[in-house]
Formats: sequence, structure tokens, C-alpha cells
Amino acid sequence: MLPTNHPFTKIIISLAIALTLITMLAINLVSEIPYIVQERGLSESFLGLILVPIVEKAAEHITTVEDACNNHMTGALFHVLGSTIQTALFNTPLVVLVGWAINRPLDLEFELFNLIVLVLSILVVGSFTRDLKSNYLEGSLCLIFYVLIAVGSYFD
Amino acid sequence: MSPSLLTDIPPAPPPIHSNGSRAALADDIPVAEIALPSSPRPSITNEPRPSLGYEDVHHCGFKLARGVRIRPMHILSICWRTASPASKCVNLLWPLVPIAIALQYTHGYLHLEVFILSYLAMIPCANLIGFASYESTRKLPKVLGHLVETILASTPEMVLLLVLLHKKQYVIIQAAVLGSILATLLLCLGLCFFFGGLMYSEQTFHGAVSELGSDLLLTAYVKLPSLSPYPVHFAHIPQCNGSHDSRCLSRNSSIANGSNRTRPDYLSRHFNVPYVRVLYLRLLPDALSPPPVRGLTRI
Repeated sequence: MLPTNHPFTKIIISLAIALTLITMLAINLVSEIPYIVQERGLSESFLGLILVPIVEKAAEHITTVEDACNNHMTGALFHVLGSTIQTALFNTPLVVLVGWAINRPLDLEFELFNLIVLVLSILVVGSFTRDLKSNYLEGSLCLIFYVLIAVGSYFD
Repeated sequence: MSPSLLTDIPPAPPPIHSNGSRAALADDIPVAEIALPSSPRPSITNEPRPSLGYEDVHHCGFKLARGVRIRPMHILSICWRTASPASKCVNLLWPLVPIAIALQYTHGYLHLEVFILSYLAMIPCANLIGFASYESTRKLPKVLGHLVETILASTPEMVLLLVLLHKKQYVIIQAAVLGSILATLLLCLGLCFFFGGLMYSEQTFHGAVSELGSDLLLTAYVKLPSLSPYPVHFAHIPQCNGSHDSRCLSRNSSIANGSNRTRPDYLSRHFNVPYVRVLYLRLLPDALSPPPVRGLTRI
């Protein structure tokens, strides 16, 4: 409980610091990607499908799992679904439009494997959430599905 | 305990509330929950105290200092004590951040080490953004707070995608977009259900969330393949230049985002309509709920 007259100051300061650090670390990370792909032989699809999203979403996943462990499953699911909708409907068009503005030819021609796996995972998740109850078996099945996709994209 | 210590924040760590790990920074903890059983309750009596230049009294009975008193060690100790186990492990990664930044500029030839260190160092920074967005939702009105939290939580993702775009890694961007949806749906949901199921045998959730999950997600993501040129290829148009057409399709679809391309109206060309629609639909029940009626609780 910090006595302070400016409740928003610490939020804005911490946001500014965190954003600066993340930008610098992201630039470091992305500049090493060509080396990893060419010298170490990691497939680009594994890097893009599994490794990069985990580092983007790690903190958000931790918050969501905390909510679930404290019996606020509705809040946790709200975070999950809000985040997926945010990615699909906001981040993707943002990236395409910014690419158009700075003359980078980005298109949304996804690989067939990724598309099929995505639609299947939505069907799986939809069927798990339909009965309004959850247990650890459903969770472990989702995790096993994710591991299978990771292994499949590693040997691309 | 000496009387002078009663004016300071007590050293006992506050218990973790049912809503998780952020309880210590809330302003509304009642006094009884903070004091240890062995220590005396901080009293609000009028006994003489040494004057320390304080003026106001906090509503919990502690005296506030004038102005801003920043005590870094106290801040750090609060952050450490109130973090959940997972957040504690993430906060342990903070020393890697200056190491990763310094290594890039001094020993730039150590590519693998720089990659791994930058990877691990991004996690505590993203955790700080998540923490700041959570704190901001406590100060803002409910609807705006949820909106700000959702947008701020995806800021690391936006930054990473834009940096990838700048460095021309198009294959990885396409994989990252789908991969982040996969990671959230399968990995995050799987971990939630798994660890929640270990702690409670069965958990229930509200029907509105599941409806949002199954129906809205499926319709939203069936649109994503339609943004790709597979329908064009299957139509066997002979003068179809694959890459140029796919780019035009993607750009127009990103503006209109699935709405009818043969009938472009101003709204669909200039606003990202489905996102706005989804946000409004999600926020509308909150916005339409009646404000709490005061003054009727007296019986």
C-alpha cells in the first residue's frame, strides 16, 4: 500500500519501461532468427508456430492459469477467448495494413497444415466447452494435441 | 511493539485473497486481515504519538505521508511476497534482461546465446505489462477497463509481429498469427483445465463464455482461410498471378475483414468492422446493465 498522490503514474512508468525493454529484446530476437534457421537447421514453421507465440503469450497464460487455479474459470476463459479474438480480428489486419503502408509484401496465404490444424483445434475446444464443465482430462487432451502439433511442425 | 511502529505499514505479509495474488496492493484490505495474531491490532485511539509530519489518516487507520515516498526495497518486497508461485519464477528472470541487451551489443557473434537470453528475458517484461494493465483496470470503469486490459495484454504480440514485419520474415509472421491462436486455445486452455482440475475436481463456467467460444470463434476463423487465395486457385482462372492476387485479397479483406467485397460501403472500408462489432457485442451487456440503485437497502 504505497501512499501516492498519482495512481496512474506508476502504471504509465512501468508500461513505458516494459514496452521499451520488449522492443529492444524483440529486435535482438528477430535479428538472430536467420542464423537459427540456416545454421542450426530449425524449421521456420516450428519457430513461427510454436516458439514465437509462446514468448508472446507467456505472461498472459500465467495470469490465466492463476485465475483458473483460484476457481475463476469464467474469467480465465474470458481471457482466453478475448485474446484469440483480439489476435484474429485486430492484430492480423493491423500487420497486413502496416505492411501495405511500409511497402512490405505480406499476404495471408497460410500453409494448409496450419489452417487445418487451426480449424480442428477450434472444433475440439468448442466441444470441450459446450458442457460448461471442465476437468483435468480435458486439459490433458488439449495439451497432448498441442504437443502433437509441435512435433509435427518440428519435422517439417 | 513500540508505538512508533504502529504508524508504519506492518511487516506481516498480507494473506492471499481468493481472487489471487494481487491482494496486497489493494487499498481496501480491512485492518484485521493484515495484523498477525501475535501482534497487537493497530489502534486508532487518541494516545499521544511522536509527530512525524503526517497529516491525513488512511481509511484503514494508517497515517499517510504527504507527497510521494518511494521506497524501492519496500516495493520489491511487496512484489515478491504477493506474487503467485508462477509470477515469482518469472520475476527471477529479471537479471537476464540487462545481460541479454548488453550481450547483443558487445558479443554479437554469439547468436544462439543471444537468442535464448532474449527469449527468456522477454517474459518478465511481458509480465510487467500484464501487471500494469491489471492495475489500470482497477482504476478505470468496468467496460473501459476490460477493453484496455485486452489491448494492453496483446502489446508484446503486436510489437513482435511488427518487428518481424520490419525484418521481412513473412513465413514466420503467417505461422506466428496462427500459432498464437493455437497456443491460446490449446496450450493455455489445456493448462487452465489441467491445473484447475487438479485443484478442484470439476469446475463450471458461465454459458455466455462457452457460446462465445464455440459459435463466434468458428465463424471468425472460417473467415481466415477465405482470405487466402485458395478459392481463386480452385476456380482455375488462367491469368491468376498468385502472389499479387493474394496480396490484394489479403489487403482488401483486412480492411473489410470478411464483409461483402462487392458492396463496399464507407464503414467497411474505413473501420475494422467485425472487431468493433465483437467488442460492442461483448461490452453491450455490461453497458446496458442498470446502475446500482442506492438508498433502497434500508429496511
